[in-house]
Amino acid sequence: MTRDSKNWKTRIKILKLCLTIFPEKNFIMKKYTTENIDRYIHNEMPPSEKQQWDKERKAYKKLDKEIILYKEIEEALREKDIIRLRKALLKIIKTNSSYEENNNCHLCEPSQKTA
Amino acid sequence: MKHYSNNKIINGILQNDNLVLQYIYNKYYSGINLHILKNNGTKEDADDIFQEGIIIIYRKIKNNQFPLKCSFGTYLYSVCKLLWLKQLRKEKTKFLIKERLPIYLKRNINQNLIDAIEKKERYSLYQKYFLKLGKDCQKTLQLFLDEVSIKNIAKIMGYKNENYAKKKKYKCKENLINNIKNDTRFKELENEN
Repeated sequence: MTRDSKNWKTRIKILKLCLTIFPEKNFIMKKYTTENIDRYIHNEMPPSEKQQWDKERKAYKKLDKEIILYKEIEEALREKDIIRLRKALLKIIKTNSSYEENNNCHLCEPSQKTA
Repeated sequence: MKHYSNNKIINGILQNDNLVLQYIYNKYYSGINLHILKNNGTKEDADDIFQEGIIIIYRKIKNNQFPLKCSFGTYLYSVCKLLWLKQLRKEKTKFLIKERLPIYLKRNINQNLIDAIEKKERYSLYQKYFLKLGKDCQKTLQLFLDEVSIKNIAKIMGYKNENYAKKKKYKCKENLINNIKNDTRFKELENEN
């Protein structure tokens, strides 16, 4: 075996080792699935797993951000009254937009068009 | 067009009264739309800003922070103009408020209102994408948030078993989160923090 090929093999070994130790992105993709993050935020994990996640959360900013995002989304979806109001407003906007399109008028009010 | 007093409008918003909401749309939307079209916006932007304006006012009313002396229309215009300015020059909002808002609008805007807008910006993005999900997904996620048991969720939604209900929940959540992450506004908000 030549010295060059030995060098390459060593380099590949080091690279593989690095990927095993610091594969933050791959790691996040594989382990931090929606299902697992959900189990974490809803305390559905066994204590040992939860502890491990707490540690990883401190180590990986990306994971911490992801957990915060999941929690925020849930909080936002719990605002049922606001979601109901949004639905009602969307319906009004949609109905009036299609009315305006049919009447070929963008700036006037429905009452003006029918008058 | 029937006229509603400030109080009736405020109560109507709180109670999600369709007649009042339609009245607000008929009376004020065209002005807001015109302002946004004149200032580099589109009809879609106007729809968005109108909706956000009402939501901000709803939050204010709910927290007893709506200035009662102010006319509803003036306040709505102020909020919508502020929202649009903010969108146009995100990072320089506060500067713009001082520099470019007419005096009568400045009177209606205080730091409290700016904070309210900024704080709930992310929530409005999440809620908008939630409403873009299919009805099945919306209902499934809502039932989970209401802590209905998986067994009951499967029953209510007509899913074949509990496992499927769980999978559906994760799938819906994943879709929601991916859509949010792909939104340019979400990326902007991330960079702001």
